[in-house]
Amino acid sequence: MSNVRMNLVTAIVGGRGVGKTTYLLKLVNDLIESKNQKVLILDTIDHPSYRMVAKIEADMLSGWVKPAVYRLVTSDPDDIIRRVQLHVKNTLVVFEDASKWINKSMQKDVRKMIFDSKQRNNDIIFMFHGFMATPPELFRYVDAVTLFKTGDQPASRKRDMINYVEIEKAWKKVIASKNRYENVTIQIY
Amino acid sequence: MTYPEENFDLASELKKQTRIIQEDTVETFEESKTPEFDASDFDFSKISENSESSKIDEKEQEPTPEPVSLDQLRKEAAATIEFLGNLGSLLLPVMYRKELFSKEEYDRAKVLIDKYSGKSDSDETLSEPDKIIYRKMLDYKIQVDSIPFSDEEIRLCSEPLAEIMQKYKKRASPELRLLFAFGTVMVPRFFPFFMKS
Repeated sequence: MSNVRMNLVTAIVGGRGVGKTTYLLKLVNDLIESKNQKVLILDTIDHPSYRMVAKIEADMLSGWVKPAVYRLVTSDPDDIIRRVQLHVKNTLVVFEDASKWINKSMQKDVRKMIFDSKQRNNDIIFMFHGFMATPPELFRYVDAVTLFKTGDQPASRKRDMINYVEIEKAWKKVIASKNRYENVTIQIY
Repeated sequence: MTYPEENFDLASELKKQTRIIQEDTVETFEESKTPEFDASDFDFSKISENSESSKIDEKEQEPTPEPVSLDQLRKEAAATIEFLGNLGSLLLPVMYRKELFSKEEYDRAKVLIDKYSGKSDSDETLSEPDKIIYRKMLDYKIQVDSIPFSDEEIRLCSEPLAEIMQKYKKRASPELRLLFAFGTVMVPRFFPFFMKS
């Protein structure tokens, strides 16, 4: 039996200052300690928490093969999504503050990137500040949701969540916790 | 294993192997330049509410969007106000008419306006009931002509709206100005709605 897993599309949802970036960096750190992996962090604001991550320019994506962790800072998200779709394979792609990248109605290129993630062997992580910042359609495509404390409720996206009951239950547990950085990951499929 | 699974270990799952896809390009980076990711200085355990990094995180996670010029916002605000004005131009005449006239009166008023508009002898030739209807029609037309916003009225409403659009962050002053300006412009348009004769 093959030990190969399916590629994952994950949404990390949490308000400001609840530890999403720290969680992600730990995830990346643990990942590259255990296996050689390409990781691409897409950022629009040159987030200070990622300053230990080397930068890559957009036109270098086509020539990137070897495992490494890079961040790409851009003010043209649509162009970068197209380049990722064209050139990036075998990579964990992280969208820091994904609401800067994805419209509420989800661009065709983003949808294509998600649908092609298996063919391109990409895992994708989208980070959002809350449920309302997350495009409703995305909840139908993600394989897992990591919930941190949010300022809004999952009920705002209820009709787009197949397992709304489980997500709401997990979210309530996170909200009730005294730990500011409490988080739970729910596998959707 | 049943799905959905709570407390799914994302980190462990990501560590598992996936099916590697052949890269159809050759690495163009010089090997010596491939950087090492070193998060050893990043303290994952000690992030606290008052720590420097979490303060930065709070400050930086929602950056100020790129500013749009106030001129552009004024244009957008003016377009919005004009739209609302046009909506009023569409609805208010109907509302006025229904309030002022019965159907028979309105039909009669149209005939009278066509026949006597601009003529000075209407007072002498019209019967008393017709005079009332005729005058009501004249008033109605004056009110309807004043419904569309003037350029000045558009500017009056769009300027504070542009300010609100520029910095929508609990600024009471521009909102109050908008409410006041809009009320100043709209309220007279409702007067005929309450006219009885």
